[in-house]
Amino acid sequence: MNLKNLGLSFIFLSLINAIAHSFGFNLPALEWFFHLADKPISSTFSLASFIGYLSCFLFFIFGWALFFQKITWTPNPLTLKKWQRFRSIKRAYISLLIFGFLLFLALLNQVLVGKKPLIVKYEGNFYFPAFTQRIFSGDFFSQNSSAEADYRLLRKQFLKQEKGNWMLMPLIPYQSTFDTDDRQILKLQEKEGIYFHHKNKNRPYSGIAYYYYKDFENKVFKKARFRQGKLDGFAELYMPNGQLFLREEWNKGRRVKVQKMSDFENQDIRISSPKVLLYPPLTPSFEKKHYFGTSSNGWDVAAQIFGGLQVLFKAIVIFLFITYSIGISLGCLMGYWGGKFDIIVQRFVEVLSNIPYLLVVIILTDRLGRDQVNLGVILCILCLFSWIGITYFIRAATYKEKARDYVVAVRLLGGSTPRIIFSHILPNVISTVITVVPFSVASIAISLTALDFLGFGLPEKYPSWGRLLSDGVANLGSPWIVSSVFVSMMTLLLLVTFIGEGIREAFDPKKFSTYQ
Amino acid sequence: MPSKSKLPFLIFLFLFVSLFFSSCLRVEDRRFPPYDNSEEVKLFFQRYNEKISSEFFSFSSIESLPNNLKWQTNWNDPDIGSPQAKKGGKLHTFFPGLSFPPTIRSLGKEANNSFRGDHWDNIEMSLVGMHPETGNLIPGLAKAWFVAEDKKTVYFLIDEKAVWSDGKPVSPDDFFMTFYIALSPYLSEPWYRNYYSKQFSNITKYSNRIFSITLAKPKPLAPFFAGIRPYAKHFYQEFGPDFEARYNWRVRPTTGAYIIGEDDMIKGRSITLHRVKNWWAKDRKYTRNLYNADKIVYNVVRDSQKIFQLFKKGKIDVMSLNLPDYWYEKTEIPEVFKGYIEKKTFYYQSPLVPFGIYLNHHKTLFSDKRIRMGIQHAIHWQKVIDFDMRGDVRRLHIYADGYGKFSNNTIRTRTFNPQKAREYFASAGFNSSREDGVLIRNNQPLSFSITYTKSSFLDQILQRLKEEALLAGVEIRLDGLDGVASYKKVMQKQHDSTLWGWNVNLPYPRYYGSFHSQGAYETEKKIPRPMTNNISTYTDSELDDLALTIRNAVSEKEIEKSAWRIEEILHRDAVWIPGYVRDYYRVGHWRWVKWPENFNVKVERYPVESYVYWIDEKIKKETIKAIEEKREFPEVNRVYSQHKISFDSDE
Repeated sequence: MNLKNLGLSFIFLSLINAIAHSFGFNLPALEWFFHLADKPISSTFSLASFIGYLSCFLFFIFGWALFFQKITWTPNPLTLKKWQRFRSIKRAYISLLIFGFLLFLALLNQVLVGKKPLIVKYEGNFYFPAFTQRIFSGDFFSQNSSAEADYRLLRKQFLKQEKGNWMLMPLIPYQSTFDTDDRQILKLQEKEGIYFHHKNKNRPYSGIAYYYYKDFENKVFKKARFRQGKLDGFAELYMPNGQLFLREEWNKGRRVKVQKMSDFENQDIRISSPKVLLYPPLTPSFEKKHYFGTSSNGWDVAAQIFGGLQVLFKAIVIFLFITYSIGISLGCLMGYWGGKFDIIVQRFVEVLSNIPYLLVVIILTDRLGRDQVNLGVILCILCLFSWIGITYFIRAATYKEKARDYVVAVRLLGGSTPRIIFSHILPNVISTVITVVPFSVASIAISLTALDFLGFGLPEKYPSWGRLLSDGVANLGSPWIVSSVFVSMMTLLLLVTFIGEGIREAFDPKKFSTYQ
Repeated sequence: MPSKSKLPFLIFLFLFVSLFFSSCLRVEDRRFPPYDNSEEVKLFFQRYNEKISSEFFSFSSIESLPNNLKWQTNWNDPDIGSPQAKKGGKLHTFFPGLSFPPTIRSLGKEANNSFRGDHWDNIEMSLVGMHPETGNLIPGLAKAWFVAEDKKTVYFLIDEKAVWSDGKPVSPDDFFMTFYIALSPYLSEPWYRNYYSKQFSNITKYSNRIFSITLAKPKPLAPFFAGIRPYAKHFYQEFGPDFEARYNWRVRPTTGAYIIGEDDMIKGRSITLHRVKNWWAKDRKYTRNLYNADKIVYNVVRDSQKIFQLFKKGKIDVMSLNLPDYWYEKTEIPEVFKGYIEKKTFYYQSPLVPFGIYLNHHKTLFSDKRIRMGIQHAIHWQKVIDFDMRGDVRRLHIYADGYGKFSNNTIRTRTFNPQKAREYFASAGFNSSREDGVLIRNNQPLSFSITYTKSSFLDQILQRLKEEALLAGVEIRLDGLDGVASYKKVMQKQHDSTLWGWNVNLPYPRYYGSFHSQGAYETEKKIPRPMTNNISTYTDSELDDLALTIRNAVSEKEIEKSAWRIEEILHRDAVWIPGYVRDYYRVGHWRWVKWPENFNVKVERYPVESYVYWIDEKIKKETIKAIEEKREFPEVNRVYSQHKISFDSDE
């Protein structure tokens, strides 16, 4: 199998990203490397861009190696057979495809989710706020503010002005965190003196409604209670400056009591019809593009689910890399060297495995303050305790392989220890660990979500399923929050489990060797 | 012979069985041998007088009372509560801290827990009280009092009827005991030793009913400040080095209306307060209509969601509904529509908690006044008020609001204005901005953290402020910690800023603790002084003088003038960012809990802490029957705004 094409695409990607970043563009996926470190170390040296360029460089080298060194990978016929077998298990294969598709979606980042428009056509020119590092201030689009432009408002202004300006927003036009949509103001429908519910047109409205001044923007004239579509109970009337001037009491649509609080002429004022004010959590609505509604702090649920998925994918990649590197290396060495090294490391492993790691994370994040915690810190702690399980598998398998003839042969030929371990033993023991990978993926997803659910996980700048879940549980009256995060969580875990099941089937040694 | 492998098992079995039986046997508690401190107390009085080389504890005779002594009292104010109040019934409620209290002591380690108010501060009587409607002094344990010419010494005449709940009469010795305990080295908290040694200078006994207390400095309302609470001498006879363990679960006799039930206290689950039988003040004016429920049952409920579920079922009788989602959405339920649960809003007039963001001026960022001004313009409290609080609260403008004439209500704090904020920041050198919109100066972002005690509610409003502050180019980092950790961080002055609110009390505002430079820095060193209330590390010589003036003032005029000027200085220097205040409370209660016609007393911040309510058993039966028979009552949702102070809106 020729890896030339893969190498070429790596070179291509890394070059595009480095060049795009240095020219002030902001492309999805690889741009993430430039955001790994978010605190500048000194005034001249920016860690963030250093890491960004370094990772681009590493990608480039990797691609270069693949392309020019003509490294070819001839898969072991056994491996090919395993892959064939995996493909033949339909449920697992489809799950893998869906999982891959989700990963692809997550990589698309601001193309799908975000508050910055993909394309803006403004006074004849095209702008691409989502793909540039430049921040377009409100002043730039004549919004009269030096902060970043409010694009959702701008869109409304464009529609109103009808000057041929337009913009293309992402599919979900909300940021996953710190992007609160305004409360919704809906008109109550009137039929024969009875006001009906804003959603259910046949249900008379019960609750609080507001009458606004028509001449003063957003000034409440009257706040009143409705029961069965009629004014019932108290009603408070305010002057345009917000001061209460009249208090009324109503009974089934008839005013029964008036209490004057201060003098105010309310003869010539124009008042709107009663409106209901909807505060978050808002129900799902296609019109507002809140496909899964909002959470109780007013953030879009769909955007948070997407952002949470991205965080989980990042965490999974880093977590698997670190845990498995440590676990496999140590496990191999323990099995290969055995003796005192094995005994010492095993005791160490026993000590570590008796520490409840979730509690350690909780204590640490609590003492450090949420401010100091980031994904790296939490992953480090989780990794510290997670390589243990892998060493068990690898150690046992290595012990077994060590005694085989081919290992003795390599030793006789003078192979060095790393060579024996990594070139000869590892390929033969790796299949035992591969079957565990899906469970690690599931466990990291669950751990992160659980920590956030308990309130000890990542700070708020990271979107999180756990926080969404705890918000949903606290607001069971708004079922869209808890159900959407529950469904996403379940889907992800189910996919991972199906894939894991397929891998286990495919790697089952009983399928290939028979003893006679 | 048992095999070797069984041996450990047998040993384990033996240990288990012996442990089991030992726990069944009732062994007498040997931890607390009998102790009598009578001699120790007498010696302590002598030694203390010698130590401070002046007479702190004096014993005199009735002949040496001053000649001009003229007892004052006040029986002319209106009665508190409603004469219609009926005695009887049980009030079911929950522990305010959502957990079982660690102790029922009133002082010592962990005594300052959230349950202390319910069994000590609100119950126990002091020498004189303050009328919750008129603000005048009213008799407490003392039937009458007299302030000497020096405005420091107050003579008290103990009511002849005043007895402890175990029948022993209240005597001046019990007040001597208060001082003994407060000044004792056995107490682990230094606060009491500090307060009682600095604020008082003498206590003198004249007879079994007359004694005097002298304050260290003259004060207006001296009887109120000298009107301490007694500690029963006969009960605290065993007060010694092991006091905290010995008294941890001991039920003390009380002079108040409720005593903790010893037999129905279930540790970890519930405590019941019982109305004292034949309470000495039950027919007395001012207290005869209060403390009506026979029992108050506190249960542990660990989750605020669950409190509401229990309330809906009638297992909890009264619940505070201050949070907007509870008031507007979660209580739109049949129980309310059918009138079983009534909703009330009550405006009170009491000092308002100075809630807001306190900046630590020791940090380089906040030592610059231009930055502080900018930050004041960058914090969008109005959005929190309109969006998260649904416009039901109002912006706070000054530090000491709600003190009537002492509050400088002419000041308007700076409002959210990103444009102005950016101008201030630009003048301080923050000219360019980072990729995420945060302003930078020499590549350092305009970023600070807010330390606070984590809760879902505070998380939400701080997230709102963070989101809005970005419009002004400010990055806020949210540093939510658990209560102990955040308190420690702020007290060590390691915070950038903190979301904080002081518990404030009548009768007049105090600034000394929070803003006087004495609490800001260690002497002659430029490091913040830990464990003081000056969490802003703020220093200003003019304010220092004014704060001291208030502390030592003898006239109210003086206090008023200084307080007004201090608020101007705090505004001028943009010392902190005032948040919002709620000058009402909203409450839901089952209809069998009855309240006076005006609902509640003027100065109380919580509905049940005035004890004016009563439980009507007849209505309770009627309501339960009505629920069974699906009968309805008219819906009740009332506003009591007789004490509301109206303000103009700011924007």
